[in-house]
Amino acid sequence: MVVDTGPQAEPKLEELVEVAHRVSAAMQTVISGKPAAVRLALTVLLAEGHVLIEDVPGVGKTILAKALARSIDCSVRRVQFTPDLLPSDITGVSAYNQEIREFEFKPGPIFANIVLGDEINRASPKTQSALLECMEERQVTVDGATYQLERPFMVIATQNPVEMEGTYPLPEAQRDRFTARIAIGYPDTEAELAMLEAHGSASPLDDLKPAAHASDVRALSTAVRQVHVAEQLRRYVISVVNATRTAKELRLGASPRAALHLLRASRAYAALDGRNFVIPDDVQALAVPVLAHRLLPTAEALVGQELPEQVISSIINRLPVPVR
Amino acid sequence: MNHKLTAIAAVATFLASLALASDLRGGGWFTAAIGAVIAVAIAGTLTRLAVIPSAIAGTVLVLMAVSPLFGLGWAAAAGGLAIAALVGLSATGARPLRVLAAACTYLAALLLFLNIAFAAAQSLARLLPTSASLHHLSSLVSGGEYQFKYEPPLPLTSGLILLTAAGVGLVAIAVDVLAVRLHKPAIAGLPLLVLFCVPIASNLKHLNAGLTIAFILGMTGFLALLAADSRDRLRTWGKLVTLWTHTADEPDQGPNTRAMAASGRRIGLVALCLAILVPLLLPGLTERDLFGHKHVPSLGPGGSVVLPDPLGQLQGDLREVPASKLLTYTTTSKHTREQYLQLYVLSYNPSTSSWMLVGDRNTVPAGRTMAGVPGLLPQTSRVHVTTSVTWSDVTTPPGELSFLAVPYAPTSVSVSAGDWTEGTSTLMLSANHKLAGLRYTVHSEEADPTAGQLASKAAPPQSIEDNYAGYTGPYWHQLLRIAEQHTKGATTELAKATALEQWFTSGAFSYSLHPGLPQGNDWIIKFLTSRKRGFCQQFAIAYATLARLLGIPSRVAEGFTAGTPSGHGVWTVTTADAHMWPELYFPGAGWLRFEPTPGGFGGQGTATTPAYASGTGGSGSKINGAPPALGKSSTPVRNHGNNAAINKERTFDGQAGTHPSTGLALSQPKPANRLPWLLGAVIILALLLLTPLTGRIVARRHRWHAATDDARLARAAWLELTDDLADHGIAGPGGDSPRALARRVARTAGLDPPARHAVTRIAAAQELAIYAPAPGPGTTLRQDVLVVRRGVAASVSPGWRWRARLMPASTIAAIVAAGQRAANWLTSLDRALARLRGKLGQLIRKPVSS
Repeated sequence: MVVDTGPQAEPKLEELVEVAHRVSAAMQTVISGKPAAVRLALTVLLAEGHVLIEDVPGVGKTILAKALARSIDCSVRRVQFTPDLLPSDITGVSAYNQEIREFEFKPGPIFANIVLGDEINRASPKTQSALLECMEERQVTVDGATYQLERPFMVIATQNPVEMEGTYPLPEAQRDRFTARIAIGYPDTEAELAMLEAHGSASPLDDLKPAAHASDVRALSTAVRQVHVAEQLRRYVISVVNATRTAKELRLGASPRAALHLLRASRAYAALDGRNFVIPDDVQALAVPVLAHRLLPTAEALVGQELPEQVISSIINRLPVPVR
Repeated sequence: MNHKLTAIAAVATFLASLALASDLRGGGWFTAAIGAVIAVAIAGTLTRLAVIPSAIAGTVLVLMAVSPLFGLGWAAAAGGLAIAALVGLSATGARPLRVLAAACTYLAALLLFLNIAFAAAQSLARLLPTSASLHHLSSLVSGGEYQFKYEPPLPLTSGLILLTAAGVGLVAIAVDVLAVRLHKPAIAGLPLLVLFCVPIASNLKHLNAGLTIAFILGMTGFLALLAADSRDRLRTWGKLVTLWTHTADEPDQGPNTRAMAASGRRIGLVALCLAILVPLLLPGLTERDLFGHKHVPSLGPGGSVVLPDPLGQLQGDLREVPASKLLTYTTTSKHTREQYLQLYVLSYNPSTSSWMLVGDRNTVPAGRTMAGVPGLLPQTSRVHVTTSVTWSDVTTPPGELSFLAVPYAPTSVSVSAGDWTEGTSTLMLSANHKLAGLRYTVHSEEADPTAGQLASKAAPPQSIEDNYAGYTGPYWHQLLRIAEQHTKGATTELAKATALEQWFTSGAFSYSLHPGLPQGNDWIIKFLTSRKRGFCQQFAIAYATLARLLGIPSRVAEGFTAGTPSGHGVWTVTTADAHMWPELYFPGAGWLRFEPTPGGFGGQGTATTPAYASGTGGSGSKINGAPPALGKSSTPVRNHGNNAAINKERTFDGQAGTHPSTGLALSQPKPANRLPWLLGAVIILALLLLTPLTGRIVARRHRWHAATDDARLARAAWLELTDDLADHGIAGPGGDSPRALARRVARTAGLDPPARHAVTRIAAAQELAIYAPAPGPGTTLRQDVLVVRRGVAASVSPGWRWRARLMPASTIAAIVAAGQRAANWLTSLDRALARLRGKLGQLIRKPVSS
């Protein structure tokens, strides 16, 4: 693979790091004590992927999504998924305009740079699939007309794993379209204390000023694609993915798309570090968030409390890193 | 039925019987042994037929074997028929009868074979034994038995071949029964061991290449037997499991034993190599090289003969009060008092650090044509003496080898009874015969060399150098100093020998038969420096030791002094005359005795100093040709005039320019002989120990040397870092990326900031070299590696530090990996061979089926 390592690549990376740090700092004024989750969200943004935030209620799923959306000066739409939500409520509808006597397309909330889909598992499968189609194809087709979505385009979907009654859990095929799943987790005591103080007076979200433009993000996504991945690292990614397919604890392994996502995300992760090349540590850091939500454990593994996250960790520990 | 196992049992027996080769002269017994083994194998196969055929075969064989009994009256005939009938009745399948039938079949087959092989001429139709043929066999046996009392290797006679074949045949029966019939091949090792024990018991002291190879062959046979049985068992087991298949009998149907057989072969090979190489390579265990044929004095008795204990016998005799009469003799010697009677010859055995009876490997029947006197050249004048000896009623321990007391050197002997053999190098006469009442006449030649002949500079022959020169016992260097000190100024060997003798008999030492004698392995040095008390044993051995250190080949002889005259020319020897004296080898004259033991009243009563040793050497120089007066005999006679003659010789040698000390050093190579050995062993050990260290250094040099660009520098630095970590025992599980490793090392080794930065730089360089489009600069990496190594070394215990230096784990791992590769190669070779066998098998089967 021939990679652009010319003089113009370096300033772009420098710039990226600076912008990314600005965005990250801005986000962390809202989400305190979760730099890993923030970095992961940024990684997925730069890798032009989508993120699934899955965690118990009240840990800041929506806040994270909002913080990311607001730190970038771009269009943000939020969709609260409910069982009666229709596909057209997302994509938009063609309505008859009496004045001009024509059908006119009314874009839905999907036409934004960042779409926040709250509690995505509460919508009907039909609606879910409409959203997922847009995610993959980055375009919307309504009444035979195709409308391109803007770049950057990122769907941040949240899902509540505990309250399962009356929900439609995302099928595996659709989970596979999310580049990464972020589990935010409870904050530690200090962070929680800080949060109580900050959120006590006014919402810090209101004070959040955009730290970058949508065009910046576009440029940086292009730069991320130029990040060098050595041959042996591509093989390493393949071997990690392959290992999930042969692991006896797993009923379903990772798809080739998962390998693609992992590589893309690793590039972004390396770029956030200011590197123009990927190292095994990037792949290792991203293996669990990128792969775990796509895997299905066997019944025995479930009984034995062996979660896909643990399986991936053991694979990472076991597989030799290409160091020569 | 398992023909393969039968055949391998037979082969194993034969291979084990090869161990007998070292005891028997010539290979004529091979065919007989093979025949006996084959006969037994056939008999074994017959006994393993179905009940009725085996009963028929057994009956026929037994009838043939007992046929001579039919001519010996009705009782014998009835007995023979009864045995045959019992064997025939085994067709009923009764177990005791079958056991009896099997035993009779084996023995009958062996007997028939021996009869055909050794007494065919006396047999009926050259096949069936007759009473004449059996009688012939028994006479051969008694003739062969007689030979067993000789020391091996025994000359082959038909009697001996018969006995060997019969013995091998009996062992073959035991092996066949145990291994094939009872499926206990491991126990079959015991009868095989019997075959090994024969030569080992007799040749213990000269474990040579022949015996080693015979042992290897025997072990190979035994291993093959074990392997064949294991395979057979696995097949049997496989058959049981696949009972329903009709093809279970086919050899291919058993479980695959190849892998197991391969591991067995490897284990066996390694065990054999170790068993052979370790004793050969360890310098302490043997001083022989692998194919060295150096003659080592042997103590081995042939058959069941027991060797006498000369030292114990000597002390027992000397302490006997009152002394009992042993023998009387008459002699034609003119110097009877100086003529000692010699029984045994002892030499220093370096492997036991003691003086032991010399076993002569070559013996001849003692008679009129005896071997020549070793070392005595024709031009050396000699005195012929005839001595007639009559032994009194002495008791000889049963089974103990007896030796004749004869004046040295016997040239012919005629004995009243017994079959006596003579050692060709020691001239000891021995037989397993009681001495009581024995009469014999000995003709002997007493060397009478001139002083010039004794001063000859000729080197002794190699056989003498090998067996009688050099002393490597404890404290040899102190002993050498003592010897040099007391022979200062003496330039010829005779002068040295005489000087030593004078020192011993000068009054510095006292004679004592009683306790308080020096003990332990340093007794010689104690005896010479502090105790200075002892009897002839101490004097003789100490003297012989010092002589060896001075470069003069020496041995110790044991026997009797001349004894005392009892009228009418008859001399009487009693237990009080038992004596031990040193003999020194002089080229041209052979062995000459010396007398370091004080004689006379305060010493060994009848000990005398020979003329040449008292400084009166020279042809016909014995004082006036008359025997010394009885009263004077106990004190050494010293003649000033003759001493002057010796002195003249010294002066002559001095003019020749031989520096005494240099001469001593040069003539004394033996004590230093062990040094190169030890040095070699130390060097090999050191090299072995240093191999990992050297390997590490070489690998390091090579890496840095090959690192010509930044990428290679980074790679070399990385390899060095991981190897250093492995050496210091902090290598990770192997799943670490460069920076993860750097972090872990910095944490676990507690590196200081410079080392921490260095390890980070190494990891970063490696990252850039292998993951980035272009490597980073590698100029500081070599220094960085050094810094990290020091930091890591400082963090571990001193033990680990030394281990990292001397036994670097990285190099050892590389060596182990190489071993693994070799094992893999062996495995693939094994598979290839198996494929080849399979293909060959197909090729062979194809023509048959077509």
